Amino acid sequence: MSDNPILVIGGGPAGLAAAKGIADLGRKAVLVEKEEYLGGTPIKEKYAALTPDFRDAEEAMGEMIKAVTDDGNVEVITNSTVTSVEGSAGNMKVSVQNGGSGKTIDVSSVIVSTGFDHFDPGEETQVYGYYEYDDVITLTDAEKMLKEHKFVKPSSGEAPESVCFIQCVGSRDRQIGNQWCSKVCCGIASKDAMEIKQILPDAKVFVFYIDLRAYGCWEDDLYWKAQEEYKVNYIKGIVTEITKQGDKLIVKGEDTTMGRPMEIPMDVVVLSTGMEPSEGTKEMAGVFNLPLESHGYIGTIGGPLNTVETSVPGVFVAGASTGPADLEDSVSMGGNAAMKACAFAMKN
Amino acid sequence: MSEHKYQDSVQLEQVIVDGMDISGHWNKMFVPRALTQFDISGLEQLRDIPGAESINNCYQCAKCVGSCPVEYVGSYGPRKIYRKLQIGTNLIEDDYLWLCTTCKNCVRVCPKEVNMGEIIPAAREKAVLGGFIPDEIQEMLQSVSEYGNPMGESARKRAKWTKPIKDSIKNLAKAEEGESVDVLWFVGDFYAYHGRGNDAALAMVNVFNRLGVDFGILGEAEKTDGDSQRLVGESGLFEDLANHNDALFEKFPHKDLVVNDPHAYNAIKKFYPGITGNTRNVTHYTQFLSSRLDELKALMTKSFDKKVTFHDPCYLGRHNDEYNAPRELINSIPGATFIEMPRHKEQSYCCGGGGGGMWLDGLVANYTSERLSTNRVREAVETGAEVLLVCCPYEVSRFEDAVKAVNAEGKLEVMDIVEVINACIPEG
Amino acid sequence: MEEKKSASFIGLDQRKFTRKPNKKSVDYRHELFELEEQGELEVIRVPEPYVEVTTKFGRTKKIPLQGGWHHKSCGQCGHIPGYPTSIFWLHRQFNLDYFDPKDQTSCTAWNYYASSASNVPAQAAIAVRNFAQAKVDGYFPYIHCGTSYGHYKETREQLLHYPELRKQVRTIMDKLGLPFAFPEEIVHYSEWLHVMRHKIAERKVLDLSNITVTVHPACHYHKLVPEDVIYDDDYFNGQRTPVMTAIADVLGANVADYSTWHDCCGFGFRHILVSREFSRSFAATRKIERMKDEANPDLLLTQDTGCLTTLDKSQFAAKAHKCNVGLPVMSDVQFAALAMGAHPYKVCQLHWHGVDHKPLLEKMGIDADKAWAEFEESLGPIKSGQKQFLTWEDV
Repeated sequence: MSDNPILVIGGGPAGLAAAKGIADLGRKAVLVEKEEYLGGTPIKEKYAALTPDFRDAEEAMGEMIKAVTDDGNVEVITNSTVTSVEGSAGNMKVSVQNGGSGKTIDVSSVIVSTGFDHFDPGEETQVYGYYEYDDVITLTDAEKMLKEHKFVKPSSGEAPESVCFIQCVGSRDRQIGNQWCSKVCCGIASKDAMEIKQILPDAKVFVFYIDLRAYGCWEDDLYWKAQEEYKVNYIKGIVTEITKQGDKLIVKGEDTTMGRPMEIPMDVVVLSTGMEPSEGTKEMAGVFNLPLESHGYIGTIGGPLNTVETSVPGVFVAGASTGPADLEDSVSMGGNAAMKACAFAMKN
Repeated sequence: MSEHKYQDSVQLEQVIVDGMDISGHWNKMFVPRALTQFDISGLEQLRDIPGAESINNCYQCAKCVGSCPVEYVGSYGPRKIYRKLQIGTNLIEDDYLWLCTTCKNCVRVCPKEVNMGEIIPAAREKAVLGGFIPDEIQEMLQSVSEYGNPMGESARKRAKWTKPIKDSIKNLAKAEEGESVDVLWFVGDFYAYHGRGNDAALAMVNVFNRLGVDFGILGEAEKTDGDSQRLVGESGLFEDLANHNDALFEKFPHKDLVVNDPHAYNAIKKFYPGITGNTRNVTHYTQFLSSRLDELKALMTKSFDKKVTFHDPCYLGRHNDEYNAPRELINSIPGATFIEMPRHKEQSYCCGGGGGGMWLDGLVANYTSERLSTNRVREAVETGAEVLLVCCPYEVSRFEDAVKAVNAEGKLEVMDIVEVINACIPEG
Repeated sequence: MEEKKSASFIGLDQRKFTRKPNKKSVDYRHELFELEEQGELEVIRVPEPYVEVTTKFGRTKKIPLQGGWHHKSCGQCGHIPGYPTSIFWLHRQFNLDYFDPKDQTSCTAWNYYASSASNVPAQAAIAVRNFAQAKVDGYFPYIHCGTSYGHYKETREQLLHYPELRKQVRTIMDKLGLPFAFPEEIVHYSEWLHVMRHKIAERKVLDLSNITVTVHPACHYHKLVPEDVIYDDDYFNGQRTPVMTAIADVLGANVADYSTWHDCCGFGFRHILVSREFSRSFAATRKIERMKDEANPDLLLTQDTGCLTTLDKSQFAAKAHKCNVGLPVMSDVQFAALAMGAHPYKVCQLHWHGVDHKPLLEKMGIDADKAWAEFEESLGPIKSGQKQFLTWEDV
C-alpha cells in the first residue's frame, strides 16, 4: 500500500469531485491546475448558470471549490502543469512545472481530468462568419453576456428583436474530423434561449437543429420548457451560411419540414459550438502514454462498464477528457475515479 | 404544401431592348426567391386564444400526420398547420382552418398533447368574430338561427316524419309542463328531415314500441343540438340552442334522455352542463339498446344473412370512448357475419362530416383529392362486407354518396344499426 | 453608446482566429515528391523567385512571380480577350518572362462538369499532357480558368491515390513521347496577381479612392479542394479568400460586401448550356441586384471566364424586366492593368464587355472618348489591310 498522495490533474468539475472524493476517503490528494483559479470551463468561460438547473455558475462552482480548498487532505497547486512522469504503478514521480520553477512529487496514482476545449467556429466547413461579424457569437459568448444579466447585439449594444441558435457547430462532422455529438449543446442552447427570453420577453428566439438531443430529463427541464413556457421556436434544418445585409445577419439553409430553402434575417446568431479534446488532455495523454480512442479523447478500458480506467495501471480519467460529457457525467466520473484511484493505491 | 415553386418564371412576348429584339425565351427569367421571414405572429395570435394554447407545444414529430384523415386525401395534419403558423400563415384567415373535421385522431397520438379538438373550435370562434367564415358555413348558421336546423327546413315540419306511424306517438311539443316519460327521445335533425334518416327514425320507433318503452319526442319544439355550430365557432348560437333544448329536457321529466346522433350525445353530455348547469342522463341509442340486449335478442328472430362491417363515429368512439355498445348490438344480429375494417375503434377513419365538415364539401374539395367518406367506403368495400353499418345520422347520406363514387352500388349497402335490428324483428 | 462598450467584451475585436491544420487534409506535395523519387513522375518545380502565401488550413504555398506557361481558358479569347492581354501587358510592364503556348488543349472540365461523358484516364491524361508540354517548353503552368484550376486539383487527387490511373496515363504519355509531369503547385492567375499586388500598387497611375467594387470569387477557385486556396488573416479575418479583394484594396478602391458573396454566378456549366434563363436570372437577380441594392458599387471584379461572362452578359436581358442592373464587370487583372495605365481598349478591350463602362472609366479618371478615338485610329492599318492585328508596339 502506497501512502503517497493521489494526483488529480485539472481543477474543473470532474477534478474537484475527484479531489474531494479522495479526501473524503481519508487519503491525500494533490490537485494541479494550469490556470490560476479552480473551477474549470464553467469559471474560465464565465458561464452564467449551470445546465440544467439554472444555478448561478460562480456560486455553485464556488461551493465545490471551497469544499476542496478547505479540506486539509487536498493540496492545490495552481498555475502549474504536469510535464513528465517517471516510475510506474504505485510509485510515480511526477514533475510539476510552475512558470520557471518545477518540483517532483511522488504519487501513488493519477486522475486525469483535463476536460475539453470549445470548437473554434473559424474552422467550420460552413460559412458562419464568427470572425467577420460582431453579431455572430458562440454559446460561451452568450454565457458571458447572460452573466452580466444582459443580451444585446454586440455591434450596436441594442436589444435584438430576433436571435437564433445554430446547433452542431463543429460537432457531428466528418469533414472537420469531429464525428461525435457534443451532448450538452442542445440543452445549453435551450437554457440560454430561456435566459434570453427572461431578459427580452419580446425577442423572437429560434433554434435551428439537425436532431434535437435533449436527452434524459433535459427533454422536459430544458427543451419542452423552452418551447412551451418561453415560446422558443425550434426549426429542424441547419444553417449553412451567414452573411450580412444592412444591420441584419442573413442565415441561409433549408427548412427541412417545409422542404424549401430559407433565407432569414436575424439580429444575433449564436453558434452552439461543440467539444474537442482540450490541449491539456492531449498533452497529458502524451505525458502518461495514454492511448486515445478513435475520436482523439483518452481511451478507457472496459467499455461502458468501466468509464474511468485507462490501459496504464494507476492512471484514471474523468470528465470530458474521455469524450463529450455534461456536468453530471463529469462529477460522477470524478467520484468513480477517486474511488478506483484510492483502491489502486491501497493495493499497490 | 410547399409554397416555394422552383419553376416560377416570367417572359415578355414582345420586347426590344436597346434596339435588340429579345422577345420570348430570350428574356425569360426566373422569379427571385424572396427572403423568408419567419413571421410567427400567426402562431403568437393563435396560442393566445383561450383553448388554443397547446398549439404552441408541437415539436414536429409528425405522428399526427399519419393519423389525420384529411392527410390521406390531401396534405394537412396538425404538424403542418403548426409549421405554417411559424412562417407567416394566419390560420384565422386561412382556408386551412376549415379542413379539420375535429375527429380527434391526432389528439389520440400526440405526445405533446396538442389538442386540435380544442384549438380548432377556439380558432374558429375567433374567425367567426372577425368575419372570416366560409359561405357554406354562413348559410348553415343562418338556417340554424332561423329554423333551428341546418337544412333550412321549416321548424313546423320537424315531426312530419311521424306521419306513417300507425299508432300514435307521444309528441311533447304540445304537452303541458311536467308531462313525464321514461325515455325522452331527442330525435335530431337528420332523423327528422332527411329521407334516409326518416327510415331509421321509424325503425327506432318500432324498436322502442316492441321493447315496450314509454317514450316521447319533442317534435316541433326540438332544435338542433348545436355541437356542429359550436365546432365551427358559433359559441353564441350554441349557447342559445343548449338553453333552448335543455329547457325542454327540464320541462318534461324523464329517466333516460336518448339521442341517435353522437354529436348531440357529445354536446348534451359534455357541453350543455357548462352552460345550463344541468347534467342529463343522456345515452346514445346503441347504449340504450345494448342495456336491453336480452329483451332485444328475444325479439330479433329473423335472420339477416349478410356480411357486415361497422364505421365507428368519431363523436361516439374517440370523443366519448364508446366502442362496445354498437358492437354488442351488431354481434346480436342473427345470421350476420361481422368483419372489422382495418381502421376501427380508436383508429377509426373519419367520414368527413364532423366539425362542420358536413357543410364544407365545396371548400374542402379545393384541397383534397376525394371526399373522406369515399376513402372510407373504399375500405369498407375491401373487407368484402355487403352492408356498412353506421350509428350516426350524418353517415348514411355521406356513405351512400360515396358508394356511388366508388361504383359499389349493389355491392355495398349503408344501413343504420337500428334499421337492421328492426328488420330482424318480425311484425307482431 | 455606453451599452455598446459594455458588450464589446464579446465583440469582433476580442476574437482572433488561429489557423489550424484540418484533421482530414494532408500535404499532397509529400506524396508528389515521393512518387517522383520512385520514378513515377516528374514534378515541375515552382521556379524562383516565388512568394510564399498561406492557404486555408495553414500550409504555405509557393506562387512564382514569372516563368508562367499561359494555360488558357476556353472562353477567354472569344468572350473577354482583354483578360489575357491584360495579363501579358502586366508581365511586360514588370519585365517578367512568360510563354503563350500554341499547343495547349482544353482542360476537359467542360466535359467533366457539364456532361461527364468522358472517362477518368482521358481527363487525367489531358491534364498531364498540358503540364508535360509546359515542362518541355521550360515554363511553369499558370491556370487562367477557375474550373481548370479546381479540376486539375481534383485530378491530382485521383492521380496520387490510384496507381492504376497513373499506369493508364503513363501508357498514353509514352505514346505521345511526353514526360509524366505534374506541377508542384496548381497556381491561378489571381494568385499571381495577389502576390504582385504591392508592386502593382506602387506603379498605379489612377486615384481609385472614389471607386467602390464588389467581388465575386469563382466557386471553382475557392470551393473545390479548398486547402490550396489562399487565405490571409488581414482580409475577412482569415475567413474568406483575399484574392481580388486584396488587389482592389491595395490599389485604393473601396471593397464592399454583399449578402450573396458566396453564391455561384449562375454559370453552372449545365445551366449555361441548357437552362440559360437560370444562369441569367441567378446572375441578374441574385448577384447583380443584391450588390446594387446593398452596396451600389461602381464595378464588379471577378476572376474566371465563365463568371465574368455570365455576370456581364446576363444583365442585358434583365433590363427588359426593369431589374436593377447596369454594373460593369471585369477581371481583377484588367482592373490592375487599368490602374497601372493600360489602355482600356487596346489592352483591356473593354468594348467586348456588355455593360456600359464609360461612366466607370470617367470616374476612374480615364477619358473614355479620347481612348476610344485612339483605339479607332489604331484600327486604321487593320482596315486598310496593312496589318492583321494590333501588336504590343501599338499599345
